Amino acid sequence: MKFTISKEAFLAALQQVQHVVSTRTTLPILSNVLINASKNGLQLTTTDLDVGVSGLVTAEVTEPGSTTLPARRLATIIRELPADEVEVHVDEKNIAHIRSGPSYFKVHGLSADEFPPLPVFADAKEFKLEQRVLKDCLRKTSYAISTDETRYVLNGILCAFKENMLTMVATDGRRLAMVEQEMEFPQSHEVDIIIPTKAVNEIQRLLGDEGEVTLKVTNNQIGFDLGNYTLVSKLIEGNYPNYRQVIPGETRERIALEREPLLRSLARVSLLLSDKSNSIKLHFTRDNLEIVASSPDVGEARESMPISYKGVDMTIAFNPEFLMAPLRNLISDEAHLHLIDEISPGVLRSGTNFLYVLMPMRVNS
Amino acid sequence: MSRIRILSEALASQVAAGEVVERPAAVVRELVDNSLDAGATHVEVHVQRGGTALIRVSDNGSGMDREDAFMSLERHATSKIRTKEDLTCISTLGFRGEALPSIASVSRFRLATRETHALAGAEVEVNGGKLSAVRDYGGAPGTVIEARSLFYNIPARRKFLRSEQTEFAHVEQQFRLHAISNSQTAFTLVRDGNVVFHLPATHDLLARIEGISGKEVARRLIKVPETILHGIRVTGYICTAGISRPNKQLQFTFLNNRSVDSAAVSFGLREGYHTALMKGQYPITFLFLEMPPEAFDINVHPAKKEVRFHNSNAVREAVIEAVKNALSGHSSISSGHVPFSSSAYQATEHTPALIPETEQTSLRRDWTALTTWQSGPVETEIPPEQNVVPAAVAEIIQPISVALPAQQSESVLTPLPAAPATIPKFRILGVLNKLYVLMESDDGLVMMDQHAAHERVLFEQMRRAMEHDGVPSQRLLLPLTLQVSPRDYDLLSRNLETLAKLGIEAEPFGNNAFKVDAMPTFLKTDDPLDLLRDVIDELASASSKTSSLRLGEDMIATTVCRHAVKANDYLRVPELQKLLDDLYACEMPYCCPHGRPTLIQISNAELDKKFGRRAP
Repeated sequence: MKFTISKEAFLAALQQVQHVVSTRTTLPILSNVLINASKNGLQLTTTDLDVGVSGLVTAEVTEPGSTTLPARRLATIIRELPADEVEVHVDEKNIAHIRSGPSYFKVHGLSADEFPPLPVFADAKEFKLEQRVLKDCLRKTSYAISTDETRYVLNGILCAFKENMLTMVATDGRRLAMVEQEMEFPQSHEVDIIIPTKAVNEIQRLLGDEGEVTLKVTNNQIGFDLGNYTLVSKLIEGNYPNYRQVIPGETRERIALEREPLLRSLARVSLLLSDKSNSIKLHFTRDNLEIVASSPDVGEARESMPISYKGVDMTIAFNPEFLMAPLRNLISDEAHLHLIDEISPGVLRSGTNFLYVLMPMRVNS
Repeated sequence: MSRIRILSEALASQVAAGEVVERPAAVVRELVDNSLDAGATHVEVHVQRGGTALIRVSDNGSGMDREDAFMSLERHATSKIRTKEDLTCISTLGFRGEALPSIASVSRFRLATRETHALAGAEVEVNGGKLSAVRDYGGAPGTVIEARSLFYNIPARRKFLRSEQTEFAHVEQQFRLHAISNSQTAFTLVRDGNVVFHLPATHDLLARIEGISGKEVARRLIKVPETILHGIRVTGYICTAGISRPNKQLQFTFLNNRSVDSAAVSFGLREGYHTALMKGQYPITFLFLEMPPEAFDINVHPAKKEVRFHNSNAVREAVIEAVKNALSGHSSISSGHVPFSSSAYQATEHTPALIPETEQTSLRRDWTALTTWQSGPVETEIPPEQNVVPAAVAEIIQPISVALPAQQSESVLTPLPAAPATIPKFRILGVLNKLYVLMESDDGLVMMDQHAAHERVLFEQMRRAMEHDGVPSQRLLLPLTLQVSPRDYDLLSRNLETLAKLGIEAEPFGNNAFKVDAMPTFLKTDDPLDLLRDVIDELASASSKTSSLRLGEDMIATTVCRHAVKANDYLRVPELQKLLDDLYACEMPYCCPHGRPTLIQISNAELDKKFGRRAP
């Protein structure tokens, strides 16, 4: 196998696929990137057996073939190479000879035959989405994914395809983020799947602002086809909790808020929090919102902002991180906070398709 | 032909002897029990070759007449109980009527006894269960029993005897148990002709403990104020916080003056000491429990070591209460009344050079040697070379705790005086290894672990804050379901309020399940259910009187550990001084929340000994 490739293109492609590679594994082949050289260019593939990424990059292939090379090390070598062009020759013993300008590297690889093949998607349900849309939906939900491994069904994003609507939900049991996106698909395609965190992170890296992405869903796998790149992942098996149930049906107060100023106020006030007291209080009075944080041994911070509020005076405490996370990940500047009372869940809404439920904290005053 | 036959009398008694008499120490136990039951005021124990050659127990008790002397050798013959009802309220040490015949069947046995007013007593010799000689006895009133050549006729059992040294150690341990539980009886232990212990009768238990275990142990003990709970009276002496042993050897428990092992008591001790004790370590205790004989059953095993309580929870709570009383009484002393006389302290008298940087490493090298200081002899009537106690005591690294100056150690024999309130004065000398703060007190060198000390300070601060302000809790969007066993379900149901104080809101969810609606926020855990199960375990082990926040202490301890100054954090003198002051303001300054000591002391006397300035 022999090819010549531009250093920048090779590096960019390697960086896109190397995140999947396990740092600690008992299977050495999983640390390697599979390189298939053909007349189309180089196909680079990595996997940790749960998630796999594959990308095509153009190269001048003079001798087709395939091998595997240590992914992280290869990426660092390519990054440091002195010249713009790289020439790689891999012999039949899977030893790569990398030449670039005055540099020469000899790297031991493993046979491509040992590399676990990525799943093939036959009979998959296919969904088409704009990459930009999917990226936006993931950004608005992924921060709420649970890291509690005992409730593994929550370690991912629920994607419910139903009645020409894609609903994405993430929750860690304390707050819940949900986006809804209209899209068209036949009724036979209706399905609920849970995409694991790692796949969510990887696909966010690959998604761009242009073009389409095709989702291929089988009963235990999902594939994302972005043209140049594909990502495949196992799905989390299990039943996602009934998220509709936790969304309060009624609401007493609808408070319009400006996202950016609110986020900045919260960030400032939170400076006075400590481990011992990590709640902020939102104090609503007529046309005013006061945000208060106080720690007995640190001090106190207060900030007021004019709002439109006509309801009864109310004080509700939240974990500031839970309140700031969605504000940080929204783009539109309008947001509404829906409240019932100080112990019922609050709901943050933005636009027509975003909803975020968060539970208040109980603080003894 | 039938193959099952009745065993011969001799064989049957040898089989039974196996249960009662498993080693020389058991012979000593049974014989001394008898002497004490006979009202002896002086008991003398002679052993030769670890008790394998000879065990002789002589007393000045009531003695027996000729007829009783014979009867006592009959199996199941006893003067101590008569009816079935007596068995439920045993107040004597012995009662089974097995000991003498059992011992007689496995040794060359001699019993000589005379009642005080009788002209002549009886002397009986038995060889391996066969009567060999009977004579009149004209010796001193009381009873002498000799068992020679133990197990001479049972080679199988003889093989299991350990070395002379080991067997003697067991005899000695047995002797100690008797001596401690009967301080008003004089005891003598003679080994191969040498007096090991000679303990005069005393009303002062601490004096007896000192005689048995040495001054070093005795001066670390605090009196347990008489505690009566659920009809159980607890008294005795226990060690102060921060002192511990890696095994239970110095953990003595006596139930109605009988040494017993009881899980309920151990449990109560552990719980009573709680964070004052390092994990996996055991306190030094001399605990006396008294309760009506019908409230427990000692007739579980012939060795009478095991005991069953009718209400072991009550026992546990009584012990917890007693230990807490003792420790809290003491810790109030340590926060303000630590017996360091500040007037006696004059910094100018001691002008130790600050330890130069270069010497720190060499100091560290000697550290292990320093901590395993040897203790000198104990000043009792026992010749020093025969006292084996201090060697064991020497292993105790001496945490500061009661740290009375040596010249004051006499005063420890009386209940601690309410000394004027003084905070101990330490002069900071320097820091070893960027971790151990070296300080001079008027009693010697004191070392403080800066991390452990800071942990303790933060721990108490946080606990106080929580007791005061409550624990903020995050309500859950998706409630957790906690499945528990029926026993735990009941326990939790009764303690929901306690959990709420901790920030855990739970409610019964039917079928042995709970719905958990809120969790405390200061917890960073990946598995809240696992944590809840830990809390249940804590709940199960805590007594009803335990503070609700006691349950959260483990969580607090882990939280503060991250914030405490670490080893290698360089602290300047003012910072060290503040840490020391804060530490002494704590309720329990002598150990960190995990139970490791915060302060360790090496007294001037020990240093003198180490450097050969004082004869050991």
